[in-house]
This record gives sequence, C-alpha cells and structure tokens, in this order.
Amino acid sequence: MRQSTNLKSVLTRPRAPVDAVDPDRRVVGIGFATGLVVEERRCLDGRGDLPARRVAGGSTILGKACRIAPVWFVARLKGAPTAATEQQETIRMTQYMMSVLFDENSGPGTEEEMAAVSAFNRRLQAAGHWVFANGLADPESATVVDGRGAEPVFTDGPYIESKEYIGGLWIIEAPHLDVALRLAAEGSEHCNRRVELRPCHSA
Amino acid sequence: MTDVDAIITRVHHQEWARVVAALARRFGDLDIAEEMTAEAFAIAVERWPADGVPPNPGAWLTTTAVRRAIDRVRREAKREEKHREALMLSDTEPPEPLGAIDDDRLRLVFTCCHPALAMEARVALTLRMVGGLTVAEIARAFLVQETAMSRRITRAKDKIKAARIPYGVPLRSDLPARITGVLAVLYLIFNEGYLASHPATDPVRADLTAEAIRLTRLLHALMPVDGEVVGLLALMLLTEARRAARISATGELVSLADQDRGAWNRSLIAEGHALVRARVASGHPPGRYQILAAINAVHTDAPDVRDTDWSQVVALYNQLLRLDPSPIVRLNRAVAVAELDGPEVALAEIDTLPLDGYHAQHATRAELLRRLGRSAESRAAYDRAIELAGNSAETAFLIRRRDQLAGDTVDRSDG
Repeated sequence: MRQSTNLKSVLTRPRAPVDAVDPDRRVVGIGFATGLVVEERRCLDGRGDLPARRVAGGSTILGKACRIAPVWFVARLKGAPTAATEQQETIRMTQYMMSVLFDENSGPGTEEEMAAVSAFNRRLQAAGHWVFANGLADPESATVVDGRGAEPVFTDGPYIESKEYIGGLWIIEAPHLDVALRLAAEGSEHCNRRVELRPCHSA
Repeated sequence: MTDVDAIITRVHHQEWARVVAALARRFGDLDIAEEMTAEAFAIAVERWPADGVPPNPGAWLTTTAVRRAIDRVRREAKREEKHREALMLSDTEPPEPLGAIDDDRLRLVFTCCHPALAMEARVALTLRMVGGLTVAEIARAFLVQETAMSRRITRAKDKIKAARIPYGVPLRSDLPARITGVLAVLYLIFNEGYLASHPATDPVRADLTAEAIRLTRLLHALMPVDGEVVGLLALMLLTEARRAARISATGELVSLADQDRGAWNRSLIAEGHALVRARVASGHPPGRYQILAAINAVHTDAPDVRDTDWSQVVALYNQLLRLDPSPIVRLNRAVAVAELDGPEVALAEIDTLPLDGYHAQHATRAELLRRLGRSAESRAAYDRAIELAGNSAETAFLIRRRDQLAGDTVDRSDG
C-alpha cells in the first residue's frame, strides 16, 4: 500500500474533476501522431473496475498542439458533454509485460503468496494499471504449433527446455518505466519470485 | 590553437550538455538532440573563425541546433510516422523542489544514469550526452572498438525509447537511490581515470579524472543541498590533489606514505577540505561518499605521514562499515588498523576476508608480512598480487617491492 497514493497522483491528475460530470468518460491519452483521442470507459459491470479503451473518432482536439514536439498539452474534447469546462493533462500509457520467473525449485505458490498477489491485483485494478494477469500451467503441458506448412505440425512440450521458465504473467499499463519498475518490484515482492519487465510495442 | 579554437573548446565544455538537454526536452529524442548538437558545433567551427564568435555562444548553438532539428523532424515526419510514436517521454510529473534550479541537464543526467540500463551503457551515455566526448574518445578510454562503443550507445538510446525511460527527475521516493546511481557512474569514471584497470592504457588518465570532476561539479551546481553529491565532489578533489605525486618518474605507483606531499595540489585540497567541513557543520549523518571524503581529508591534512591521525581514520572506517559492511571496506580499514594497533592485528583481520581474487588484498598482506619479517610469505603474496593487478604502475611498484625483500638473493640462488 505504501506506494499507492503516489502512483495514483501520477496517474490521475485532472485539472478539474472530469469524472464528477461524466463518471463514464474521461480522456486518458492522445495518439499524438494520428490526432486520435483515446478514451477510457469504465465498465462497471460487477466484475470490478476494468478499463476498456476505444478510439473516439469523432472528437477533435482543441488544445494547442505543437507540430513538432510530443509535449503533453492540455486538451479538450469537443462534443463531449463535459468538454467545455474540463481540461486535463493527457498521459500516454505504455503496456509492459511482467513475466514471473520460475525455476526448478519454485513449487506452486503458497497460500500467503496467492493472497498477496490477489491484493496486489486489486490495487493494480484500482489504480488503473491492470490489463491482464494469470498464472501458467507447467511448461510440460505446452504444445508447439507450426502452421506455416501445408499441414500444421504439433510438437509436445515447450519450445525450449530450460531451468528457468515463465510461470505467470501480468500485462500492466504505466505512463513510463519508473512507474512500471515500481509495480514490478511490488509484483515480485508479492509473488515472491523474480519478474522480467518488458515493454510492449507502443500502439 | 587560435583564440577562436580556444573559445570553441571552452564553449563546448560549458554549453554541450545544456544544448543537448534543451533539445532532448523539446524533441523528445536523444538521437536528434545528440546529432544536432554535434552539427551545431561543427557549424560553429566552420563559421566562427570568419564571422566572429557570437555574443551569446550558447544561445547561438541552441538556436542553430533547434533549426536543424526542426528541418530533420519535418523531413522524417513525412516518411516515417512510426518515428514519432517512439519518441521519448518527457517529464510526466513536475519534479518536487529539490532545492535545486530546474535544469534540463538534470533530467539528462538522470536519464543517462537510469538503473534499467547496464552500468557500462550508463557510463558511455553519460560521457557522450552530458560530457560531450566523442564516441571515438569514449571507445579509446575503455579500450573498446569504436563500432562496439557506438552500438552500446545506440542500444541504450533504443531502450530508453522502447521501455519509455522518462526524461525527467525521478519520483521523490526514488530520488535517494537514483542519486546514488548517478554518483556511482561518476565515481566509476573517476576511478577508471585514477587507477586505470587495464595494463595497455596509461596508469593515470587525467582526461577521465578531469571529466568526472567536471560532471560532478555540474551535478553539485544542480543539486547543491545533496550531501552525498558534496561528498563525492570532495572525495574526487582530495584524491585528484595527490595525482602528480602518485606516479614516480619511472612510472611506478608511489604509496601514500612515500608521496612528496609538497607536490600535492594545495588549492584542490583547500576546496575539498572546505566541502568536508561544510558537511560536518551541517550536522546531517554522512553517507558513504562523505565518509570517504572525510578519510581523505584526514590524510591530506597531515604535513607528514607520521602526523596522520590514524585513530580518526579508523573511527571513520568504523562509521563506513556500519553503512557498508563489505570486505573491501574492511580491507581498507585494516590498513589503518596496522598503523594504530600494529601489523599483526591487521593481518588477522585481513586473513578472514573473502577477497582472494582481489589484488589489493594480496598487496596489503605482502606489505604487512614484510613488516613482520615473514619474507617468504610476503614474497608469495606479492607474486599473487602481481598476477592479479591490472594497472601498469601498480604492477611496477609491486615488482620492485617484492624484489627488495630481505633474503632475496638467497632465495634466488636457491631457486
């Protein structure tokens, strides 16, 4: 919990409380090169607070856009009911994969580890970092599939035998690596294993 | 060197990092920042001798570099959409007040020294982006092929973009650890200059020590209230002050006890002492670099080695051990213990340390055994130290010490 306040302040810094007017809609980022506004919709469907994204094609950016530099600028949404009065700094998020590294001695997670991971997951969701997480079954249960030929070829077992393997993964979203590193450190602490943090290609 | 050449060299020292940092912030791209800054300096070299030096060289260089960068970004924006999406992220959060001026160069330093980069990449990137050394110069400094060094720097810049290492001052809670990381990079550059690790280079590389001090002075100017930055600067100054006395005319390392203290640089010592005194007066508990600086202050305070306040040195090492209980600190402490409590006590301490692969342990053992009259063991320890030492001046020193051992001729005739 020690970092949640800090992270939250990094992630949601509306100049005005956007959600107060339209809790369902807020600008979370702007695809700078394409000029598209990306919105976050909060799906409150009982499964928790899972953000989904869509591109708002009809919106126009009114803020002053520097044509050279990707300096984050204040943007407004035209046409949105809240647009006239709301301003918010935009934050472009990057997705990172956090792979949990297992080795021969890892064994299954203990109850304490599972509970700690669940608590961590809830915090990721609450702070808007969560995209996906799950554990993986043993590497021996894997099948390598090569569909490039006329007939697909199935091979039993992992594509590489190694002493270390990925036992689970998270996909998280963070505005930059420093935030992602802190989350990875927390994730590693909670699942009691090392994790590898790797950025996804930016969309 | 003409006057204009001298001015360009000086301006390069003073303005390089500022121009790179300003461009990196504006364009979100270290490549563009680096290349356009280099280009602006190349234009200056071409034009200033004929046109005269502009009244504000730094502003001229920034403007020139920015114009070039705009041209380039326009060209690339047309054909390469992808490029824009890979832009580096600039500060997402305004930095907490650090008691420092808000300077783009500070962002540049923290980005280049980011802990997600390998140490060697941090060193290379810092020397290139902040120090303004050419890739060829950095490659030479670390005995790496220029193409390999160029790849190392490119890979680091690519990771900064892909992993979105921010161009900014760290989150407040990360700050102490991140400052420590920056200081480690600067200290490594200094040490490589002060005791070059490879036999093929000069034993002391004044270019690297000078560069490390220049960069640390810059950091100190940017973060004047950070005690460890002060400590590292003082440590470097007090070490650098002894550089001229440290290598003999025949290229041998001269031990602290045998150095000509008249050859020490008094003004550097005075500056270092003033910094140490200011830290002591602040009443804040000192960190590692401040303690190391204080130890060096004690040494440089003694007009003769016999005047050294060894009990003070041991007390400072005890303080350092509480922060860093590493075998290397214990080894250095043992050297001071030998002066205070005698070589036997020190030897007993050293023999428990797991430092068999470290030349300094064997060199220290050899000296202590020699004082105890245990020549054969001392010789064996010198042999092992010579085998492990990488610095040519240190090797020369160790060979001479070994060959001076009592009973040398007897041993030789026996062998």
